[in-house]
Amino acid sequence: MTRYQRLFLPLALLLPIFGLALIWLLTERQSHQGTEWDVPIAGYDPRDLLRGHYVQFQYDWPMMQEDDIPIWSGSGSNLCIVGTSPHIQRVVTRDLFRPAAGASAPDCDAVAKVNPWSEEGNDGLVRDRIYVPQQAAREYQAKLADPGLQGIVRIRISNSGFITPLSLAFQPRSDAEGGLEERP
Amino acid sequence: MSDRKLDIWLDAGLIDSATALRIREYEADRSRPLGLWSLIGLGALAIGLGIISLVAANWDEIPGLVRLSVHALLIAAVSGGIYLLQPRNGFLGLYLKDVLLFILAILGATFFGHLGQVYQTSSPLWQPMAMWLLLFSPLLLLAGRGWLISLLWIVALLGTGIAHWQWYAQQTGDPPAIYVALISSLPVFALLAGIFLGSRSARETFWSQVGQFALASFVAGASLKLIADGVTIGGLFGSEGKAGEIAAMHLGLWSVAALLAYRLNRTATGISIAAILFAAALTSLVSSIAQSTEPLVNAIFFIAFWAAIGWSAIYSEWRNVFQVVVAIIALRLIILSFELASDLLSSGLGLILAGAITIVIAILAYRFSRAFAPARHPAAGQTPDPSDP
Repeated sequence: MTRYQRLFLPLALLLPIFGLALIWLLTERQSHQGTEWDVPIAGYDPRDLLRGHYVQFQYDWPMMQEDDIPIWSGSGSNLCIVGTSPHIQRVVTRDLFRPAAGASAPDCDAVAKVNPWSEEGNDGLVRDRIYVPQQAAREYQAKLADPGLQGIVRIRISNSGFITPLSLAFQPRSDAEGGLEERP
Repeated sequence: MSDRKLDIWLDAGLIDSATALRIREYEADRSRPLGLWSLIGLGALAIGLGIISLVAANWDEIPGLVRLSVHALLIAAVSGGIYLLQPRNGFLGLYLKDVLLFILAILGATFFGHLGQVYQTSSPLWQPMAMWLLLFSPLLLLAGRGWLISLLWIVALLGTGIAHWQWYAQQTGDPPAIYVALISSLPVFALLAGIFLGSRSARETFWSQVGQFALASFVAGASLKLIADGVTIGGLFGSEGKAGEIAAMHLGLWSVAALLAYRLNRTATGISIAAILFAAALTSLVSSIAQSTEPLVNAIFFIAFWAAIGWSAIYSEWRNVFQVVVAIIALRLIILSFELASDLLSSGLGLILAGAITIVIAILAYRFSRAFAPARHPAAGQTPDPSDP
């Protein structure tokens, strides 16, 4: 064992331990920050409901056309959410490069950005996935297939604007809300 | 070590009885209770598998924080084991430590995935990989001794590079030429690091392995690029103009690397490595400029590159490499004969022709390899044979 090794080996051994601990701490802190919102989900393909441990779904942002949802992280356009957490009143797109596009720029209560690193890539504001316990999988599948139930996903929007789906709940669908259109 | 062999050699008069006795005493001193060790290993394996299946069966029941804590404790325990083994130089110090290093590295890599699962976070693959490289490279490169660690490190380095390349290409659509030239030169940088540190480290074999794996992946990458040039216009790097630009940058980068490799290692090996780097840069540039999808032209570039490797193998007396070179060139010639005979292949005559050429090339390659392969002799310096520990 050379002198170098005697000196540096303990440091080299401690580096990964402290590095991983720090990353853990930061992830833990990050997971508590941000705001939580309830978003209805839609457009799921019945054959596509459950893939192993996760449910794949599409967001049905209130008062929002699907074509308007930003699907490219470089476009500079975000989703501006207006409401009081966790109830969303309405959602509009906000373009950073063309701020005057809307008649009046609303004050956003939260801003959701495309997270290109998410599992859904650039489509992260259109669709997403949530991991469910294996035991509950059958129950979720039955509820998702039930046309009388509306799926609601609780999401957290972090301070950097990225979405993390937290949980999935269901409520009876009321016809007054207009429900969901059939998608091809 | 079998006593029977010693008896045979003794009877044949190859060794005298005193030598045989000395060998027996030496071997008795060195012998390890292999049976005991393998039983202990088997027991440990069974316990490990049992723990894994217990944990896997109850994965959802165990709270995330508990799982992460156990994971972190395992990492700390293995680190402690490595620290305790470090001063030992025997069987434990050399082999077990490498195995522990490997386990630690894998535990560290899976910790990122585990965090993501518990906190439902996601990031592009290259980010945890790069973070892993940053945290674990000092340890692996400082304490690693054998091919397990050198190979792991090279795979991790190149894997991170490829993951970043994919991500960046996805982000920008069309990454700048200088980026592609640099990221695809990662094996060259690792090769230089291996040569540079090998001459300054007590663990010369380890660094020489790092260099060998880097060189092997470089040659594989360059060959792939030369093959891709023949499949589509623009080859691996997409657009036509850009491929030439990147290849020109490669020529500059790799020529400097070749010069450095020679200056750091002024032996036959250094010259051989420099020759391979330069030959790759040159054939790649010419191939990118030619932009030819003609089978014959493409095969000539490929064979020219591998002929340079063959020359390097003769120059540095790398017997095994030379044999591989002959086999690959022969294979490329056979593929070429099928490519050229593709019009004829629909007819029986074409098949007969291609089959005959295949047999002739195979026989010629075998004879050539026997006649010209460098003699087998104990390597004085480094041999670029990755199977050689």
